[in-house]
Amino acid sequence: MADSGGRLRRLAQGTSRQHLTLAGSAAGAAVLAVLVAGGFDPSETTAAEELAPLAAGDTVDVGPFVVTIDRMRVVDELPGVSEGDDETRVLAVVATVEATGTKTQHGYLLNESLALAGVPGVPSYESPGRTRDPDEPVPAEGAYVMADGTVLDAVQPGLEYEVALVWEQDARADVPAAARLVLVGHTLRQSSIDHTDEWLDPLPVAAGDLEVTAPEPDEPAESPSGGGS
Amino acid sequence: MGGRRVSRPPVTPFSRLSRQAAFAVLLVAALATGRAVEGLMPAETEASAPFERAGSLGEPVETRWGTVEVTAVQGSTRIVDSLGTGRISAGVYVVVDWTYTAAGEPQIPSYVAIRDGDGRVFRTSSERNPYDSGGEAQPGIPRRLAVAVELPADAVAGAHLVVALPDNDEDHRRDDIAVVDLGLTQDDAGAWAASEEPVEVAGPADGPDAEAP
Repeated sequence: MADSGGRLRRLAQGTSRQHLTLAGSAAGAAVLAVLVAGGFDPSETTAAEELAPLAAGDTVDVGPFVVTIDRMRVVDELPGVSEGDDETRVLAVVATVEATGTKTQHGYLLNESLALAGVPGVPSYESPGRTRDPDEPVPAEGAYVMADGTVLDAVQPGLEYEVALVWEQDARADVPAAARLVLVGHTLRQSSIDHTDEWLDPLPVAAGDLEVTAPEPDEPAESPSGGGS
Repeated sequence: MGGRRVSRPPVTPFSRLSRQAAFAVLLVAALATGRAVEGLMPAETEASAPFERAGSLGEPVETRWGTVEVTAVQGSTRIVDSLGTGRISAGVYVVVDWTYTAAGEPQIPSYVAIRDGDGRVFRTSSERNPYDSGGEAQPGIPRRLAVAVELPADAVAGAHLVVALPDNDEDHRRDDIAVVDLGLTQDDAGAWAASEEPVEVAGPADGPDAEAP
């Protein structure tokens, strides 16, 4: 019996040692994973805590750009941009943007910086194999320079652009009276993959409801004779 | 054969744990030392900086991957590309005509930018800042090219054209880049910022310029 008890005790000690080793390995792997992923930032906070209110006329620094929100409307006149068809209409946020750094910023980063949340019919398409959360913010599908209607694919430092950031809305949905605009910030940091400095870590920084202006109904055509007035 | 066993101190769970803790501390210390040594080494960015081959307007600049020669510089607030599409800038469009002659093998610079006196870099793009390379150029045959880059008027004076082979500027490390002084002044900036006459951005063409003297 004593011998049997000794074996059991040794077995129990061996098992606890194995657990200790396993726990140590797991902790090491977790630390390694955090280090590889770019480190743990204890000051990082959740979006809900930091989300600032947003209204037309506000200027917000989203990291790579400073964005001033002007207005939101249904597009009826913007050269180069479709005004929609029977199936879709185009919603646009008109804003002024300026790059903050000393290098050209890609236009797609600006598109990612403005998103609409909870607007029925936006986006107007479905991603195959993916169920979208209806409250998930939808980034802008493009940015067009108001002066000439060209795609703003490069934001040059030191220049201010008046742009229309656009989303297609399914025409079966009503034109919203107001839409929730979310500004998404990025942080300049070294990528843990290739050690280059990049704008990473998209995080909502401000959000607010903007009134959506519908286009004016077409004015009645003047009569060829001038109406006799 | 009847030898006496050497008595060893009993191995307790505590001593085993302290050995493991010591190993962990040593491991962390080794990693921290490696990180500190890496930080003390000469800046990696300086050691791997590209080799800038400098030149000026009208002067051929020789690089490992070919010859770059800026032949003309114009500017305005408006441009028209080879397809007839117009663009308007809130700043100034600087339009640079240049020639590239590939060395050794078919290739074409993918990176073209304007760098101002403050170190700001303005790159070409597909839409707003047109640069049509025409694909790889055969070695020895000059390719006539044009780029248009929009930038603030205060970036014009002292601006340089920067040309490199890879598109990603991180890949310019330890390679030649051509840096050409465009010879621009404040007077050019003022005149171009006030001009609404569109400057044509020509498409790519091979062979020497027929209009050249």
